[in-house]
Amino acid sequence: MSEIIRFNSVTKKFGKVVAVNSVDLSIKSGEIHSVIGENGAGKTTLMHLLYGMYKPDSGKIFVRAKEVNFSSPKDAIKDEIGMVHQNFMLIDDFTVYENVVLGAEPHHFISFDREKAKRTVAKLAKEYKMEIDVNEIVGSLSVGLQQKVEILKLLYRNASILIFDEPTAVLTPQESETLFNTLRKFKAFGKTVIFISHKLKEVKEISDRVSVMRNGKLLDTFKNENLSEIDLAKMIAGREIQNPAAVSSKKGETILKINDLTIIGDKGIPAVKGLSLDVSRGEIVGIAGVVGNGQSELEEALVGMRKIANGKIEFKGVDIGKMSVRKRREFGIGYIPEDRIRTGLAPIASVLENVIMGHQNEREFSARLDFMKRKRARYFANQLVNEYRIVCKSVDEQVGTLSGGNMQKVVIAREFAHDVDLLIVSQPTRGVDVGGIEFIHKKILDMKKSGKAVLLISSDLDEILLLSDRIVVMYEGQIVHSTSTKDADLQKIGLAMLGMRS
Amino acid sequence: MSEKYRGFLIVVISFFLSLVLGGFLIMLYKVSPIEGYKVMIFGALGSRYMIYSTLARMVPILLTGLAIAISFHAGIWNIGAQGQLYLAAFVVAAMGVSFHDIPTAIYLTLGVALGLAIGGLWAWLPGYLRVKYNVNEVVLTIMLNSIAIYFTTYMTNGPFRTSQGSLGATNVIDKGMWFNHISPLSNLNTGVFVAIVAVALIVYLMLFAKHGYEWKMMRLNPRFSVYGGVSVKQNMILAMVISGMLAGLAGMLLVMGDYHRFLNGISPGYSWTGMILAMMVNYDPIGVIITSFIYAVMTSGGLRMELILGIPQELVQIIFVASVMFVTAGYALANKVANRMQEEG
Repeated sequence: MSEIIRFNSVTKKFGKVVAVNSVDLSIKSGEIHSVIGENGAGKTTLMHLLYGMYKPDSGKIFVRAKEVNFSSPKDAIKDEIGMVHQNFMLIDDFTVYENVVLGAEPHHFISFDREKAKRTVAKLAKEYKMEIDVNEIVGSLSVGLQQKVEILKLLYRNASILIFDEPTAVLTPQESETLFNTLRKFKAFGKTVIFISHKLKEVKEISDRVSVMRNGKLLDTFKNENLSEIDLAKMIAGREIQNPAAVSSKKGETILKINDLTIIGDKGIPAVKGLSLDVSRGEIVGIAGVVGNGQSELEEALVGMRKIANGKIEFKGVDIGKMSVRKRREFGIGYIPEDRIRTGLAPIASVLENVIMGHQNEREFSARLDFMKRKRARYFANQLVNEYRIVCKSVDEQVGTLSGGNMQKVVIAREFAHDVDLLIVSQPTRGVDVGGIEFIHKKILDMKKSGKAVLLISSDLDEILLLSDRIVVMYEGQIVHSTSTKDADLQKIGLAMLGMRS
Repeated sequence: MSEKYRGFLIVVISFFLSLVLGGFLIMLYKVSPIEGYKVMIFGALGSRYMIYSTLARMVPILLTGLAIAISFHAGIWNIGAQGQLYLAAFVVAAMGVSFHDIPTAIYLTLGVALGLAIGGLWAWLPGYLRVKYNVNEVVLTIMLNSIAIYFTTYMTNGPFRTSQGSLGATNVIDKGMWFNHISPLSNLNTGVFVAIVAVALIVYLMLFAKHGYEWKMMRLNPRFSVYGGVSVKQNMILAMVISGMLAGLAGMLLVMGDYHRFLNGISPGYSWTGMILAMMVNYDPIGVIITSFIYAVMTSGGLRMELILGIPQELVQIIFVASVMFVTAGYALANKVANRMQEEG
């Protein structure tokens, strides 16, 4: 196999941060090449350099032995390079084929030749065995299918080098498997695939060769068969990673009882339909499911940010269905929301102001006459920064300027510092690097050990399996599958997530 | 560089630049800028009487500036300070001309309470409608301005028209309701002590109290505040009412302290000046105190400059508006530089 892409000591800096540090990398034509590393290791930046979204500060990039100097993704496309981003760029109201051809429509003189567009797109999909109806409206498709539309867009533009940026982050196990089959198909057709991920299992499953990045540097490239998952993990983190084997602890009394709960979603239709669930002290109950099946509405309703239409939420034997957020917090509920930027933080406020939220009424920080003990608050913030190893210049720094992992630590530090009995933890490690994930998982297990009840909501099935004592699967607002982790059957869980009963 | 320090620097540099600009304009009158500004400062602070006059000018601007600062700080946009000021001033004056023979202490207390109540009420209405029905408070408060101003004009041309001349004004209010002038030569009156108490309370509320913190978070991310257990609806109304009360206080002091009657033109845009000052210092109450003092010094001294040097006092407005422009440009520039520094290092 011949070399198709070469990075020659490429460097890219953002301010004082060296995102990509003199990277040499060679990618062969027709291989599936994974780039793996922690969040912030520089994988995505490296690919953005290839895709023309940034220009390197120094170094050269060669495509097909020719030096390139892309100034935008348009140039990259001309050289048959395409990228599937984490966030899709699709128009929801358009059909599949309209989205695919947008910007490069086939035409009869000046009119849009729809029939030809449909034919071409359908033919492409068939060629690569992607099952998709080209007349479907994109907004009504599942995430997995929307991703296929993104891929078709690239194929339609004749891309022969395809870059995938963490493509499985949003997919179910079955959908991931389908994607992998598509990738293998690409390889069979002689296309080159660059696969960015921090999921070891996937990388192991799909790649021919693997390049490991850490702190902006490319450590080395290996043949896949010469590596084990453990080797990879060690290299990525630069140290041994310990999987927190689920600590068993004594299950205590039932503390949260959800009974026949119905919640109306933003679209005016029920998002949660007659859901019942119990959580006890000293246990972690994991809610698995594809994003958008009522998990968001459920967590908001539990903490009082959303009204319930029907049913009962009982906490410590008291009906809390109508209690205010503040009362529920004071009564012992902590909450790590799924979206830290929109809900869990005020990004333009300081670390100090962010960690005090929810604590501001406690005697420690408030005195008579509405006085707020700001010195005490500063001390407290510094304590949390140390304990949770939050990387920031000072507690006066804006939270929004921190990395995703550190932002999440601010949220977790704040919520875990409350003396609570129940923690609702949603997507705790989304966008957090491997080292951070380990730390956060350990903290969650510590909470359980100290006898608190934890309701864990995550779209990352591995995380659910790793931490939970019991697993339930949510699909279209209902619990469709329920099991103890010991007896969990991955196949069944995966099917339940897709709404198929076995 | 920290945000706060940066903002301070931008304001100071902008003010200096506009003084330089003003200097050139002074030179057009064949006067040295140093001489011109000397006369201005002397005119504002050169004697006890001049200082009194300057302080008297400062009070309504400071109070309306803080009124705006506190509502904007909380993320609810009270553009209606002018209307709240007018309505409170008129209602207080209406009481003052209608009732007599009430002991002074009681009458003063009643006047202050009424001014606060009317201002607060006229702000509560849009606040309530915003929270309850999600009506845009900016549009509402602008409309309520017109209603209040035209209503008071209507009243001073009708039922409350003065019998003591031909101004658009009410009669002079009962003496029992007067805050007396401290010196016969200036408008500064004992009402200033009420203003000082109010300003102290607002500074405490915004900088030291829990509510100040919660309000700031409400502006920066309302959803985050709900999540943190802040009752956003109640707090929005509260911030709005306090804002209205401050505007009402300004109006009430103009009637009970400065003019002892209600005039149609009682506030020549005090609240708009206050709004600009508040925005210039990013709603910082200490900043509002400093800038409203400087503004008062300039307008007060501008008068003397016109008298002695023949330079029109419009110069002061030019300097003021120019510094607003420089501040705006300064923030835009600073953001651009900061972005570039992030990119390039």
